[in-house]
Amino acid sequence: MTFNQTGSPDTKGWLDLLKIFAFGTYAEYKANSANLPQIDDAQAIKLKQLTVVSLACDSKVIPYDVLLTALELKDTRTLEDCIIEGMYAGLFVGKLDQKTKEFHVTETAGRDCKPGELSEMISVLKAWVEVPFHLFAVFFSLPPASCPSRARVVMRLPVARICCPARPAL
Amino acid sequence: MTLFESMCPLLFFWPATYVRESACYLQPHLTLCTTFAALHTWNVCTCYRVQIFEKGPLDVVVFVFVQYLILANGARGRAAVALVQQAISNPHLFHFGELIDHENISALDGAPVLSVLCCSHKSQKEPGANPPRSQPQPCLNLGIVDQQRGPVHASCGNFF
Repeated sequence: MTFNQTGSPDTKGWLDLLKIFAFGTYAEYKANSANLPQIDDAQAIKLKQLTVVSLACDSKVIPYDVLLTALELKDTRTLEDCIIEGMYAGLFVGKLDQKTKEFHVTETAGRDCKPGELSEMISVLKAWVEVPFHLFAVFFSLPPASCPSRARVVMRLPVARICCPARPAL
Repeated sequence: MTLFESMCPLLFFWPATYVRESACYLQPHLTLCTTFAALHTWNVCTCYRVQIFEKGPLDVVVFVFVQYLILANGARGRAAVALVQQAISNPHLFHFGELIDHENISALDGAPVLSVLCCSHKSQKEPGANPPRSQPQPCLNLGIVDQQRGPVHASCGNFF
């Protein structure tokens, strides 16, 4: 009679690998590759694209040198192919500047939040939610003479109407 | 109730008005599904059209990660490992947080859950074939556990 537990060392490696795909980078995989299962080429490219997402979260302009080092690629052509595939996958949007050898990111997907960073993410989202309220307060604190458009808005749209738009006519 | 569970009705019973018949897209949902738009998963879903009685056809939108979460409900041990392999190989799946939080996937970390119960005539006859037992195994509610002789189980071993 044989009893196997799910938490054997080989299965734990797969969970660690999944965590690296969730919020890790290719460099972290390479650093711990001895304890992790092998990944094939397609999975490696996917992890490299996710690494580009992490780099894009830090700065909008990423030099090719940084990308080549982080992704452990040798030539620019392979790097550009990897980035273009990530663009088609919807991971990030941007422009590849071959003159200055930089990747300008205009839009990027988010990655999974690490367990320790959840409170920081909540505070960031709270601050983002409060931005329109601050703008609203600033807008209505201006004197009417300095902002004629504000007077027009107040005349036409009551506050209750803005907060709770009326139903469309059937 | 987690965020995912609260969004489940929106996922599975999306009105046909907002969903067209193509296979993989979620562009018209941006105004309604801002949470998932923030996750950048709107182009990662599968759309099915189903017939609901007295309500007409409904388009059912199932995200890729929802499919994996459903599969994770019945995957333990090696099946969970295979599911992880599929998830990291899927070219449309880039978020794994929900999958990591699933109990069957997080159990791969070392939780002592009985996954495979395999018994044979040989292993029951030869005491040396049994694995060494230094301490009582947890989560063994399938049979009687004797500290001296190992697990005595009224199982299919009698059939071999």
